[in-house]
Amino acid sequence: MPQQALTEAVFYIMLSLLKPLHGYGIIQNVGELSKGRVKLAPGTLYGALNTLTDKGWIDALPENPESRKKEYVITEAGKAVLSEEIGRLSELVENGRKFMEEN
Amino acid sequence: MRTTVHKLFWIWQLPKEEAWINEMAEHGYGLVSAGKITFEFEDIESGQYKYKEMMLKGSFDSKNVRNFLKFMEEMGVDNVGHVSYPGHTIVYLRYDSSLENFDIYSDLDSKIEYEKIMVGYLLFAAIINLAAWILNMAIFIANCLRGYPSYISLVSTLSLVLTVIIFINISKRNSTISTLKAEREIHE
Repeated sequence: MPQQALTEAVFYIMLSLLKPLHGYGIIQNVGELSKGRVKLAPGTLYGALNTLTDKGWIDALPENPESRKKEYVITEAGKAVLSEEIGRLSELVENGRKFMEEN
Repeated sequence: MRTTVHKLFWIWQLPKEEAWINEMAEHGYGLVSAGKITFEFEDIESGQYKYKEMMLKGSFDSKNVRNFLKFMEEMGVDNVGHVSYPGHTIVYLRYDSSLENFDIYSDLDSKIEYEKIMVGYLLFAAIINLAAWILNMAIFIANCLRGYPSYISLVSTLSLVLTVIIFINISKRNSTISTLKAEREIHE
């Protein structure tokens, strides 16, 4: 069964977690990636991180005693989901451009 | 200097309570603790902080609430008080007002979830009120049938009025949920 489309926020969170980041770092990175267009709220991020961890798409790294902030990173399963989503988005853009040019 | 204020807000009046706490902060009173009807404030710079109230599933000591508050703390959001209800906890969160366009939640699902919890509580309150009204009316009818002097009590009338008000509120919230769901279908 094809995977359901990811929300914009989830897509950017997973993309950000190609390198380990803590919550605040994710918010900053998503803001930078989207040129300030996507502003992630901490409550929304918290819910998304829990859901993605439960799905096995991201992992929480063991807590560092020096930094009280929990870091997350994407898993192999998460990378596969992200690749599939990029393929779906490419198809959307390609079809969109093609039909706009033709009509 | 600390100031204690006693004020009653019903559980479904969270947005109103939150607006009042933020208005107090605008006037230089920052919330430092909250109870069901007691609010304690300390002097702060006018508008230094903003406050957000949230209803979370579970008791204050539950893993769900603890993990959420720990995560918020990492984000620079402090918990200044809480009030417990069966199955839920209302937490009072404080953040620096210099954080522009900051909101605890930005997605539609979270807003829908909050409205659903509120509808649940309101439905419970409506059922209690309706039951009180039915009981009072049954007593009234029984007394009439027996030929006793009877009258519709003030409590009975109030129960009915409250039930109607609550159902109107439920209807408004259901309409909000439908609007949010329709929006989610388009934008998320």
